[in-house]
Amino acid sequence: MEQISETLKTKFNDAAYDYRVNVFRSFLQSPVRDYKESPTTKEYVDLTGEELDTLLYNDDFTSGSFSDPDAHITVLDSTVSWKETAGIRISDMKTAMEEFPDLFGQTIFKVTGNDRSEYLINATWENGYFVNVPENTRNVRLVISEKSERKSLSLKSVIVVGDDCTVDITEKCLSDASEKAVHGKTVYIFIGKRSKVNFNYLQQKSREVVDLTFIKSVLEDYAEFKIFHVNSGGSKVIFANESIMNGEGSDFRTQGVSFTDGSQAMDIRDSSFQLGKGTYADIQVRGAVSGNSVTMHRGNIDIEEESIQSNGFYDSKILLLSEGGYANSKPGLIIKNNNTKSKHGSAISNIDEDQILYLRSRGIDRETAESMIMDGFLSVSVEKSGNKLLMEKVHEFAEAVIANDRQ
Amino acid sequence: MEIDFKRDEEMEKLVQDLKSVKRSEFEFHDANKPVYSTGKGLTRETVEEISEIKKEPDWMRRLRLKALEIFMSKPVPTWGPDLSGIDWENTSYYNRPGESKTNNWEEVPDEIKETFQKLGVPEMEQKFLAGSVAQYDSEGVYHNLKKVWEDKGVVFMDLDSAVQKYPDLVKDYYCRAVPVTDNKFAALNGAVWSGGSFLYVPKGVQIDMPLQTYFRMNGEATGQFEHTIVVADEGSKVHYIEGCTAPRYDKNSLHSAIVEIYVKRNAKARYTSVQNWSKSVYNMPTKRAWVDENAQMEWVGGSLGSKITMLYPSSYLRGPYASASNLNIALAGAGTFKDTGAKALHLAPHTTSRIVAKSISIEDGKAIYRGLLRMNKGAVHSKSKVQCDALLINDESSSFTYPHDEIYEPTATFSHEASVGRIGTEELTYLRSRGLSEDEASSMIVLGFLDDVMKEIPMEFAVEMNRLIKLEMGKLGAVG
Repeated sequence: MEQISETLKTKFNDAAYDYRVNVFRSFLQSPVRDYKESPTTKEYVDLTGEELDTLLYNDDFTSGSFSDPDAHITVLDSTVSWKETAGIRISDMKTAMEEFPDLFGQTIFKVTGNDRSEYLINATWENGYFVNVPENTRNVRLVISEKSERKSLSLKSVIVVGDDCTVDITEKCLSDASEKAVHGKTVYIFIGKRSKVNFNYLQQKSREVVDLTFIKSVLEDYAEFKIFHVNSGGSKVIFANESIMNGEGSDFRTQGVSFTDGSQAMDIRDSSFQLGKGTYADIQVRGAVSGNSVTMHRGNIDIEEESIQSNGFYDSKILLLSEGGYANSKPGLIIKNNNTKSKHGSAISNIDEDQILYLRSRGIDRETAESMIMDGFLSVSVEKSGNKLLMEKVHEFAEAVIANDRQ
Repeated sequence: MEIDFKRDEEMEKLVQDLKSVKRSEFEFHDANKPVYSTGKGLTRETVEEISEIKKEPDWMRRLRLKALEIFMSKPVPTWGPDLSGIDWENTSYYNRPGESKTNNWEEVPDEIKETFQKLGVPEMEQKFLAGSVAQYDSEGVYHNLKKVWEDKGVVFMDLDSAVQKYPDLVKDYYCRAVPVTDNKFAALNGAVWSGGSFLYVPKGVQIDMPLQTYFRMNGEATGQFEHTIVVADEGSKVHYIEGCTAPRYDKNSLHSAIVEIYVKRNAKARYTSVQNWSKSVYNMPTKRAWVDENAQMEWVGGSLGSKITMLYPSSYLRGPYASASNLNIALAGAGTFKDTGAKALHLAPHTTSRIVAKSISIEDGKAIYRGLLRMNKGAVHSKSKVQCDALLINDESSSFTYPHDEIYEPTATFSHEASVGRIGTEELTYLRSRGLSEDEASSMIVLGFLDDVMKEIPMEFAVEMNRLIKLEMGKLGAVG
């Protein structure tokens, strides 16, 4: 960690150098929070210094490459492919920085993050994908597949969507790493006026991987961003999804599902930062905890002074299935004007015995009843996405959790 | 549910009587000068001096000095409101108002007596209370307990007197629920505590009238550091009330109290506190209850005054089937910061807790709910429900909610809900269409919002709270 300035100069001395130095300064200034200081500011998934170092000093560093520029690109280990290509620019970040210096200087590099791990990734990213969807582009479908076995992976990706577009993005993050690895990435999505973006996210990495993911959306007037996220893999996971709602009437919806098992620790954060007038945020997260795993659901509904006539809702529900597991929730409301409506709720409990009794009285055995309840409880979140991949995965994970619980 | 018409009528009558009273009536100060003060600042000598004045046993003197070391070593917490306005150097940590303590109201010095008469303390004692203690600055000046309860073995006096009279009993409970290592302000209290009440209710004694302590801070830039211990022994029942007021000064004062409540097996304790410190007081108390098997603890609180309040009454549910409820109202008026909440720790099977917190922010007042709910492993089939609602009156009002919920037991059931809103146009229109003025309608909605908690507060205090809320809002022309 001490040699960071040297590392930045030698390894990351690119067009983003000033940005990297700036965010690294923020990283150094953000303290590791201690539980004793305040229960409400605790770092939940504790990252060791060694893990942060792994993220920082990646010896395998290679630049991005295109394997087939017409159909898809591979950036490090990420593949981006798309169905329609009308005017859409897809490249790796290094190329994009040269191609769109103004866009990066004036917009993209203005967003720095607000978490120490996020700062670190923003300082040390090697590459990432860049997608620029021009205005009035409809029905764009992007499928991004990241599958890396590397020990260290630090990516920064950016999606810029112009005004009046509709875009559907599916990102799969997989890894079969058999040795300890640290993967970190930030995905920043800038959404223009009246555009609609659906983002379907699946994380299914091996239990050797520490996975840190920060997805941030910046919404202009009347922009809509819907995200469906499913997290099941990794040893330690921080998944943060935040929307900066600058635009009037902007709309942010989240449906999330998390599964933890064994000794996994997962910190799922979903927050809205509402600045525009008449904005709407609705966040619903569900989780299942088994084995000796731990899950934290947290999220803030932050409605600022100027964001009048705005609404914000956060709801977290966790099923605690095993003796050894535990679940925490920390929903927050930060409301700075009175012309708003906001609510949050959280609930943690085991499968309701009354529901099991109801199903058993209809001739269903206990195991099947538990599976049905679990499946119903978790599937409802992703069914609204209409995304087959996510729905299949949620069914699969739900069955696996019940099966493990029985053993 | 049966409606208590008589209570409503009486309440309305009292409201009418009190309508002309202004908030400033609590903010007067009298000319009484302390007969002894340790002066400004806090050193080892100050602590030794307080202990010597009180002729305390050696164990207490050593505990005070240990607490001072801890206080000096702990940083001022920075995770909440800005506490930089506390002038540690220029605060006077001990002020003794008179030469002696008495249980005869006539023997209380005239100026002090007049103060408590203005606050209605003797009248309340006669009408509603089983006993009362009155504390003025650092010392209790008066304590009395009705003979019927004294005969049953109830002990109720200021803590200083209890240390002298019942040292062994006090030692059994002093700083056990709230150790001085708990936080900086608890350590400060451990070092310089003076006054507070000691209430012991023996096994099986059920006191059907409340007991009250009234705390009054009169001096400028002073501190009040009382330490209160309530012990409800097995199968007993008690309701203890605290009221607090202070005059308003330009220089800030500090109130840093400790309240420890021990609710033994099958006992029931209720602690009601209505805090109406003036807007120059930093209010930093630590309040905690140990609740044993099948015992019940009820916290009812109204945080109305003060410049900054940080208060999170905690219940440690230590025995099976123990239960706790926490009902709290926080009113954040202009320029004030209320960082309040509650903690419930479920440490045994079949324990239950309920937390209801309501806050109102007026003008640029900031109200925060900050709470902790923990269900330890082994707290099987425990249940908890947390509800916190906030009402923002003005455009610049703000509210923050930071609950922290930790569940380690799979058979436990927990839920949390919070909402923030303002007085709805639809509700106003509905009430106005039935002939109420806008002011009356707003007033009705605000008091309705608080009703869940208000109905649990003893009538005299509920009237006072209603009136204060109306006064705060009346300044805006919002409520009549």
